[in-house]
Amino acid sequence: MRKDRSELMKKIGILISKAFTLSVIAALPVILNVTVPAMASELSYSPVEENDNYLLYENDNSGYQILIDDEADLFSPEEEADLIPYMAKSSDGGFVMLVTTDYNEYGDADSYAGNYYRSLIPEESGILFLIDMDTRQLLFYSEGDYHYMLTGSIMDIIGDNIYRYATNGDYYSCAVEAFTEISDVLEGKRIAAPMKYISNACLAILLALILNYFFARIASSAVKPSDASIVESLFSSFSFSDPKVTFLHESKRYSPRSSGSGGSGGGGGGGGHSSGGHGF
Amino acid sequence: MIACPNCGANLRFDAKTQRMVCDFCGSDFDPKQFDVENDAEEQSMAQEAEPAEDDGFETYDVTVYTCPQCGGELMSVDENTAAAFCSFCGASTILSSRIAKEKRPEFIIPFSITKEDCKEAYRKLVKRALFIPKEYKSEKCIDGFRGIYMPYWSYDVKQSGPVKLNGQTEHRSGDYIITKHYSLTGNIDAEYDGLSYDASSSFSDDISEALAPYDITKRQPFEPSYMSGFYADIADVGKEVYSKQASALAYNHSLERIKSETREFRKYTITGDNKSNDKPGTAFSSRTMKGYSAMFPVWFMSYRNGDRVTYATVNGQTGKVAADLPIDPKKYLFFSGILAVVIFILLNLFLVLTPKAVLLTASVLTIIVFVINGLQRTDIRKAETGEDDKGVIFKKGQERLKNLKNEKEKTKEEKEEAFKKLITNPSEVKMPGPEKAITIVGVISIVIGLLMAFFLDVVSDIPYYLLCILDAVVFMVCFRYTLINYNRVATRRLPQFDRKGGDDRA
Repeated sequence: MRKDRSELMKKIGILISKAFTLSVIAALPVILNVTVPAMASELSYSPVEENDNYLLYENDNSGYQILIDDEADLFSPEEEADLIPYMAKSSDGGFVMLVTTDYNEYGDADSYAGNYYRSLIPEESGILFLIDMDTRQLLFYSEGDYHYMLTGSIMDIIGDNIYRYATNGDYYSCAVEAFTEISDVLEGKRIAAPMKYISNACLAILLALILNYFFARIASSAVKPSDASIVESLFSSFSFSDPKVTFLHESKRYSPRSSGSGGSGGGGGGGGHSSGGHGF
Repeated sequence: MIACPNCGANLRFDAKTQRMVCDFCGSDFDPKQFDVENDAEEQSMAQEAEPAEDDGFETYDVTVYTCPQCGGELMSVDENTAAAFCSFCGASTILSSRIAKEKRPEFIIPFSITKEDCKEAYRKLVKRALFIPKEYKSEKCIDGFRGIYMPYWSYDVKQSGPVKLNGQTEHRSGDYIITKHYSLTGNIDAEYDGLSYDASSSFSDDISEALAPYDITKRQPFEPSYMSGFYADIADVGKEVYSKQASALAYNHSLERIKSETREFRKYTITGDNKSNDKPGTAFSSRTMKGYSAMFPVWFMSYRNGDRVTYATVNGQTGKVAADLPIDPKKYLFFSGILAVVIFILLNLFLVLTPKAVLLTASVLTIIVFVINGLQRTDIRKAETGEDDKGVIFKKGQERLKNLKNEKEKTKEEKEEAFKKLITNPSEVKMPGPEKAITIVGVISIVIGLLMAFFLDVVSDIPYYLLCILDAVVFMVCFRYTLINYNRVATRRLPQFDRKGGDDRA
């Protein structure tokens, strides 16, 4: 009987280790999946305005616009033109913007992207990809429906996947990969997140070991009785009589009321947020 | 031996019926009707027995069994019983026996939990202990429970006379906090009879505290007949040891009742009377009037594994269980594997951590392991030196004082230093060399990681992940020591290392 049980335990152990290995293997296709940029041949978009400062296109089906504002001059005109189809793929549900800058007057990419976005389309759904050469940050900013679809976690994964291009100065590939992955997410596809699975597996093991330690400690800790329960099991009597309260003296200490700053003011308009990014 | 009046066979006390029963003829008797001292045969045996140390006490005759390996002693009123294993060190050996006279305790709480009830209570506990080695769940091990009456000191604490407390109220007036001070007075008349503490240095305070409370109201005047069929440990701790502790507990309890039950005092914050578990406060008199010896029932089982032993105990009156629960590393890793799969799935569903966050999490987990290992070393030191066990300190102090009497030429400071050394020996729990080395590597890795995350703007993810891997390796190596230390805390040294007369090579 005991032998059977130990064999059963062994089998369960093998099964679980296999399940764990399989779950990692199952994640491998996702890990190794390199999303190949596909040309948006079926998309229909047309130029609205083209000049030295920016490129503005419109998705003919949805009416949302596609903007490239290359202030930092990271792309050649051909590259900008080539980028439009990749961006257009994500424009069915909102505006799509690629913005570069080499001077960030706000000092952080978050503020720059937010202000830029709100100055153009305050209450519309959309995604802005900022390459900030001043603070060396890649940043995604989204609003409306895109805010819910392109979560911070997804943006962090995309940031992890593309920052190497920017570090190497290949901003075109960086933007192509960013918009390809954004459109993949919007289409419901999964994107490559190799380090997510590896680091989660590692943290899961460490956390499990620690949590089980605390579990073992709690399970083995003896419950010591309270003083009250000890006294309950004794022969005991208690009486307290003639309670009297006599005033002795009064003292005071200086403790100014907190002056405060009158609150932190109202929050900004709802919906918008910086979704994530990466340094490069 | 208590003989059956009908057939002369040995009677034993039956916990279920609370009667003396004869397994031979099936008769049963009231335990109070037997007075061993009046038995002619016992009388003659008593004359041959070793006298008790203090002649001022009433005595009774016992057979004392001594373990040749650890020197531990158990006594029994059944001289025909052949003890085949030692409950203290777990050794399977025939214990040597001798007839002796022991001080007669004043009270006894008879066993009311049967061995079967005890085994069931223990089974329930180990069923919940997922990581316990399977040996601890085996019937052979569980069958090793032995009914032992443990010696206790019971104290009678009286509180009477005036109570004087300081109370205060506070309110704000502009930029000032106004505090009004009051004297809160009254008269107390309280009594706590039966505050009990174990009187055996072999019975750890941590076990006796965990087994408490016993229902003192069910105590009976001591009769040796209650011990028939059971063993008893020998008291070796002076009654003065826990006297102040009993008085402090009673004091704290009364103070709480005064605060919570006196309507007139409720709106005041009582100040200046800090609670202590070792001595009573000064707001009113709380005095231990009397300490009397008693025997409390404990089902006791020891399991020896190499040079370590674990104890499992069950309160023989209430069925409460207190046991050392070591872990089987294989089982631990198995269940950790299952939990890791669950956590992995949850993390993938709900969380994406940036490399910085992964590194910080790994660093925090590694720091937690460092802290756990440090705390474990403190626990090991306390457990192995007995510095938190008043009974052990008393016993060691007694031994030391005996030696010091012969060393009068030593200065007071030297004597105190020697005593301090005796009760604490921190050198026993030094960090092992490999753990020290890996801890240093871990600290360096964590410092670099924190510098990178907060001060250096390192763009590439690779250094973060490399440091994560290093942290994980450090974590794993240190966690190995966590498991080793856990089992060291959950088990005990063999008692022969502490006992005079024990065989150290056993």
